[in-house]
Amino acid sequence: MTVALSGALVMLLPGVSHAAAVLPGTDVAWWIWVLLLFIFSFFLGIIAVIAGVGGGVLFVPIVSSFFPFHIDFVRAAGLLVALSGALSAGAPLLRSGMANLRLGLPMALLGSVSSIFGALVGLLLPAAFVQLLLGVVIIGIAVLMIMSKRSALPETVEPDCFSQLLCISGVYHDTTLKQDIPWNIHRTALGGFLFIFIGFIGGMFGLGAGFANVPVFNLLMGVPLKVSVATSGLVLSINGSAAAWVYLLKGAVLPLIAIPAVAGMMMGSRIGAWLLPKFHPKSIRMVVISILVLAGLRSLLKGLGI
Amino acid sequence: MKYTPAAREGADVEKAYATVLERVSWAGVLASLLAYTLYVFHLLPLSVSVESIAGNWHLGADELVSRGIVSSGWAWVANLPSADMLSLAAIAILTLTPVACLLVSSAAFLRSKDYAYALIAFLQILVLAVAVSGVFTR
Repeated sequence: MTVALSGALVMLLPGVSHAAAVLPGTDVAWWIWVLLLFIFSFFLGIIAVIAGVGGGVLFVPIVSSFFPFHIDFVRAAGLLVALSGALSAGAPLLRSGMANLRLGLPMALLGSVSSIFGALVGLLLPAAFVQLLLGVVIIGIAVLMIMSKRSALPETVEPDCFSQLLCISGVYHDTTLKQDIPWNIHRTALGGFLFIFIGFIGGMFGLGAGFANVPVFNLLMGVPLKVSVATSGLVLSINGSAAAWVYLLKGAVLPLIAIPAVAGMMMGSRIGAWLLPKFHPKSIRMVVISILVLAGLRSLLKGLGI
Repeated sequence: MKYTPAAREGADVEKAYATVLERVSWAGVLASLLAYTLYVFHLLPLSVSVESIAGNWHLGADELVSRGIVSSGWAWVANLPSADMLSLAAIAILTLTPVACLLVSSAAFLRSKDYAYALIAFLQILVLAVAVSGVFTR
């Protein structure tokens, strides 16, 4: 924790990030930045899995603050990082019944439309303003992570009219409890409205938005935590795909940056999944929250030109 | 607690979705890694040099488009099969994974006469198709 905080404090110094911004035409070879991005994404993948957060929410503020890439390319790479992470975890979660299409598809439909508009708005705004807003959003996410409590098995809920109409309910086998857990949802309309907002923010800043999907499913709609996390990945992959195409067609996807980020994150995620039982997720989560606060502050300062 | 039979029937659709997701996403990842190797080691001709990209990656996307370093819309397809555009095509395959999954699941929903979800899956494909078409990015 101390190491992470002191390292992060050093990163906050304006001189350090300024040094990162002077790359073009200077003595730093391009491949060094690409290699650093791959290594950074690899370690980020490990930390993200252990802390239970998506990759995009850490990737975008840190890379946009400390690497020389313009925020347009970082946001596009962030979406692809989040998308590929969700895709790689998706198949086993769907087969085990954790990720639920009946729950995920209506929310993804709403979120994907707004994520397209979020991406369009984000690309229209000046970079410094986006960086400033990103700082605000990231600090807000850190606060949300501190405040939100997770409910492994929410209390039984009575399904509302929308969930009955769409037959949104399910049953999954909980290996920890060694029993089948049936579930229903409520507050479907409010949940759908929030997914519109989450999709917009995700598209605008290139964040995966798992940080917001999970509490809405779990705390608001009454979905068990494991189903919430798994279905969040499904929603994220569809929303991310829609927004990623806006960035791609606007020329904001640079394969030189995006592919090492995706490869590093996917490799790191697999190592993270292997290491998961050996770490205490709560302490890692606190480190991640600290990094988020500092990265958010750095983003704010960069947005203000400091 | 109530839960409908539809919840269990849905498992078949989820399995079909998972199978396509696994195959297409792996194809996208492998294609990305292969194309990237061709790109950074200059094993195929490039439409724009790596140095040009790296020398300007601190500028915004609009600026790079105006300088002709990157393409907007679908213009990049004209530069295939250069290695940098092959890398972009591989990323495109990866991002199209949900479309392939939704095509299969919408057919599965139709087979099980679940018309509401067949419609939702179809609308979702339509939304993604609109994003891919570039209607909003012109």
